[in-house]
Amino acid sequence: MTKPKCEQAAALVPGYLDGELSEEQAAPLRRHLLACPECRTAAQDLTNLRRWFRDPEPVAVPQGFAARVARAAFSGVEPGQPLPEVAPPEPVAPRRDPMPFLLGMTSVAAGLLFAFSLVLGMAQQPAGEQLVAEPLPEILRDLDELNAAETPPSVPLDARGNGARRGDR
Amino acid sequence: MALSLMQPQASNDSDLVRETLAGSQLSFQLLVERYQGRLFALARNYSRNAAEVEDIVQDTFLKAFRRLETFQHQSSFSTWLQRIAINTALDLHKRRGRSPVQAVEDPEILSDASPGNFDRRVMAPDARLEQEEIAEVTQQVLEELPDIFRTVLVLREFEDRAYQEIADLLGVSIGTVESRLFRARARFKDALLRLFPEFDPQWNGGESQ
Ligand SMILES: [Zn+2]
Repeated sequence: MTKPKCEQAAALVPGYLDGELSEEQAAPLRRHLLACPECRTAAQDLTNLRRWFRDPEPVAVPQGFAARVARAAFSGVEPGQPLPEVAPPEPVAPRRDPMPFLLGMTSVAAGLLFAFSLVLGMAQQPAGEQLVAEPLPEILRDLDELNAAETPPSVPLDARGNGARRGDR
Repeated sequence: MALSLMQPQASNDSDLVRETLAGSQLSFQLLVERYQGRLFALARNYSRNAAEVEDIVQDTFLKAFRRLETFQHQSSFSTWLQRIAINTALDLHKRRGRSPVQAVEDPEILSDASPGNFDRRVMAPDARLEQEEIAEVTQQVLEELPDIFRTVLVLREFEDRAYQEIADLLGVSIGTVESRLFRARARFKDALLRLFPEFDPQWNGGESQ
């Protein structure tokens, strides 16, 4: 029972959600989605799928990586070979007077504590909040608004595995 | 050439490449610093082992260094480097025998997701799932996909690259990117529902109907 219009719409939906359509292409599609619950459901499905790809946590590049790799490249290390071991970067400082050392360590500890509190603060944000707070591409928000305006709330996402509820209606 | 007079921070990629070829280790280090974050982010989509991720990135830079003379300055160093990274990551997969062997690389010939897939719906991740739990599920599902599908999904969904950029990175047309992405998403959905049936809105808790 797919009308030809729906086939065209289905072909455009991924590009629409990926932000790849021109406004001339997007505007009629938006109108079709407003009018057609089936295509809207298909678009929502793709939106749901894309939510599995969260922005990953920032990567930690190992300390001194660039210097190590550059040194290895210039000393003729081949791809696939392990990098040569390097001497520890921080030489042990002579310690005649322990005070500067202690002061130094205290400030390092303070810095670490501060960093740790930042990490804790970040970790305490509930994941759900982050999901909601993350700015969606405008185009996705459009779709969400369409859905909010046009359909009763679909499957509640509040609990894992209770999706069968939809069948109860 | 007075090294101390150079302002390497302001150099563009092409300058740094030329300086590297002229023997400046510092310039190469600056190139590595410039792209290491992006490559680590890319590589971790191919391995969940931190040492392996580091190996991929390291090998990428070492390969790039060895092939630096072949870099064409009118093209983008960034694209060139990321191509090497993707191939390095895929090579590692092949070596570990993790990915199903593909006799034919053409996605048009690879079989589609199972019929009926398009009628099946999938839920978004539960709001109560932790970030790491979502990532864990997604990575497990991605492991199931052939490399060409995994790569296009990673570039589009995690890396947020435009179709044109993906096409450049993979050396294919935009049309191929679109069709690969379409199939990759269908495969992803298929594998997700197979491995984690609880994310099927029709799931009834595992009881047979
Ligand atoms: Zn329609």
